[in-house]
Amino acid sequence: MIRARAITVTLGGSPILRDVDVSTEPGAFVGLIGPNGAGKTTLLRAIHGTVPAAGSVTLHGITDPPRAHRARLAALVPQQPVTPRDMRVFDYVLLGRSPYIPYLGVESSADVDVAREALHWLEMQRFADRRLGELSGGELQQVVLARAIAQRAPILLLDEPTSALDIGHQQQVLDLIDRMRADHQLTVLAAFHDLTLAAQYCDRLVLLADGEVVADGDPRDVLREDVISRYYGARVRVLDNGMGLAVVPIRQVASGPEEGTDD
Amino acid sequence: MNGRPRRPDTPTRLTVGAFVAGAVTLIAAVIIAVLTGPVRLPAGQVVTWLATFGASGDLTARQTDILAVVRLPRVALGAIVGATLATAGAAYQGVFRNPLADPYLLGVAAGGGLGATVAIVAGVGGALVPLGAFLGAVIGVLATYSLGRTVGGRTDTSLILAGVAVASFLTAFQTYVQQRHADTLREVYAWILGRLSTTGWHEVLLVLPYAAVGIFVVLLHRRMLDVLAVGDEEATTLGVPVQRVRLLVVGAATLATAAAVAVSGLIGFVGIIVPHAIRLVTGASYRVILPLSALFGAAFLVLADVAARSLASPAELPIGVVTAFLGAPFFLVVLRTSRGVR
Repeated sequence: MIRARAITVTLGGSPILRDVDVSTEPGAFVGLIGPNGAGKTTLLRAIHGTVPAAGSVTLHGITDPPRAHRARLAALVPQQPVTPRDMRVFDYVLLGRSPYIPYLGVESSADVDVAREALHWLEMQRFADRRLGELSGGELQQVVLARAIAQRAPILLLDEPTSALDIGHQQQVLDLIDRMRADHQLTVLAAFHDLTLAAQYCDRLVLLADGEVVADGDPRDVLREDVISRYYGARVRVLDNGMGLAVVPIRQVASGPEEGTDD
Repeated sequence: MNGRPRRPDTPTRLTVGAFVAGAVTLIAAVIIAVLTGPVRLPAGQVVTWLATFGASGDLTARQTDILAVVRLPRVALGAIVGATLATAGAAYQGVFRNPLADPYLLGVAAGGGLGATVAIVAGVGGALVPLGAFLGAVIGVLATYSLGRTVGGRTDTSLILAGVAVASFLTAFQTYVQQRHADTLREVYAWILGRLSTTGWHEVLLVLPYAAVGIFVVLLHRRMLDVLAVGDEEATTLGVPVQRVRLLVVGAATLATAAAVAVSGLIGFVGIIVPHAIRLVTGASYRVILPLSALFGAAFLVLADVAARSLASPAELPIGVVTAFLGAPFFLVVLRTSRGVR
């Protein structure tokens, strides 16, 4: 469960988020959408406390937990995770156990088991000894998710988890996240660029524009043609074929030589 | 290396085999070094004498003197300084996620040089030159650190750039002082090129507490440095107090390096060559790189000193010349292979 109240973030003198309220129920898959620069990433960072923010954040029933505790309540997967190319996959997944290891201690055998389970759950065991730099984009994204699973936090914050992947891998990773959510009873808050994918996977969508929440609700209520046109400045058709919504961008018909003479 | 096959899904740890290899290399380097010198010592008896910590071994009183008062202190100093410089270099590379970071870059070398020059020029006597160098080194780093924080916020690059600026300024000042007092030029120059000269165990005892504490604190943070490899923000989301880790590791590494600079002058490249050679062989984990840097750094500098003493015998080359001669080409290789390191 996430309850963010009156989140206001100002960076370098300019307001990035103004009085943002977002809350999610346990086990929900909530999508955060909005045009570039709307503040999606900043909101995720504010919820995890890596950017100074006014307001309050309640994670899993605990309000404004200290940093070390926050890491046990929420795992954050950034849009472009830093993946040192020489680091071994297993060592990387084990980093997810950091919130549970004493400052100067080393991991216990229980921590090693949790990391093994995370890799096993993603069927990535055979990659354990490989270096991160040797993996493909899709494999790398799965390893990043394995680290987040190893963190064993009830809340998963994802910043455009599939933006670097092709459509097949996008689906594969989102199916995986959805299965993680179901298997581990996670609450997922994920930023999306792709509105069709967001509509497909999320129970609810929160639309951010210019640092404020401008729509919040069922995908069918949020993804309306006029709303998308107003906040994204895009011409789209929203199709509903009963299997979910599809947001289709419509090309502007360029005036060719023939049409040009008619006017 | 230690017999049973390793499961792939286990954490990277320092293997017994790698540790033994480092220890054996260091012991071999020490034996070679104590046997090298103008007076030939019988190898067998020397090894027995070393192995029993001076309790037995058929050495004459004069031979024992050469060993215990001349050669061993110098070898011990080389080992301590080498271990310190290599460990501190590895620590800096981890904390700043920069393969070329090194305490020398952040004003330790330039500050130490200025401090030593001022002490030599003031004619305060040999015993106080290390103190001058130590103070200068610490002041150099403090200047870099405060400047790096005020100008650039908290990015790693701003700190390195501040180091470059502070180092240039201090070096210019040092050159000015040096030029104004040409009579001490030789002495200043010898100090800057680095040398391991000892008067009994005095220098060893001077540097040992700083080196021991510094290396110990850095080694305690070996897992933390692996977490920092994913960057400040992600490390923070993993619950790591990034600023505290950085302050402790940089503080410990810098203090130990300042002490090493104080007794041995400016010995370059050890902090970059040794950790990188280890990284190339063993991989990226600081759990392995840090302890092996200490062992191989010690062995490397002891052997470099053997080369410095014997290549131009009976004259001595400055040890900083030997390490730079080996280090500069290596530095270029590292540059070529580290293109993907972020």
